Amino acid sequence: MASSFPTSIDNFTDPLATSPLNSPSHSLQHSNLNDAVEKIETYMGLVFVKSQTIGSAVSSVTVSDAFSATYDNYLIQVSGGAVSTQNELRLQMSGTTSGYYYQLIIGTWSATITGEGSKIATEWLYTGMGATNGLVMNCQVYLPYLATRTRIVAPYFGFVGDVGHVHGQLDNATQYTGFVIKTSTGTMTGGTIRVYGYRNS
Amino acid sequence: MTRPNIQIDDLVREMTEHEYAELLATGWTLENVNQEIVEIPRQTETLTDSE
Repeated sequence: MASSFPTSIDNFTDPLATSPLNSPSHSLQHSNLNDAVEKIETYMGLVFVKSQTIGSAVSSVTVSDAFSATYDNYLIQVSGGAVSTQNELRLQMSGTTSGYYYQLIIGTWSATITGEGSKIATEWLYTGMGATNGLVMNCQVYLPYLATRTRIVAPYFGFVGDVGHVHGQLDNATQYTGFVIKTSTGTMTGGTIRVYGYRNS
Repeated sequence: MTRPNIQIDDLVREMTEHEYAELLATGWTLENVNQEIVEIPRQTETLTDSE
């Protein structure tokens, strides 16, 4: 039988070590598996692009060759590691050091809402956090490789019972292939930066 | 004071004096003086709805 995904999850018959080639049909098994793999490739959304281990006592990490024409939109995640002093992590597109728009909306657990913004920043602020027990970043990056505005959105986790979201953009048509993750203060050691692409359908 | 390292892909090295001066100019400090609120050199200005 052909794969029925995504309508339902397939339940192919597993051959036993003692099964003859014709029961279940060996060729049909290949056909089913090929069909299922093609469905996986067709329907998968998030595709791993690359990872980068963070070195020792670094204030910034440049990740090259992350963005390409293969995907329009990306997800950057950072986890693990530690920082020398708690701080917020920042994101910069490689080669651009000015003109960053950002808007942070932040609220306390008791719902006191504040915000700040800029359109002349040197990088996107508050795109992650660095604690002495680990780094956190989960930043969506839209259209970095296309000749149009690059935009981002990321959750922000503060240190005084406050959380929020930061949105940002670069008002240019630069095509970016890499990015830089920076600390706002102190250094980071260890942890992993992972880049995923949202598969274009 | 020891300068922090900088990483470009897999290469980790100590910052040059020039790179460190540029980093300090952004407001970066080695230690977070205020542990309660992460203060940064704000570059704020009012955005209009059309922007």
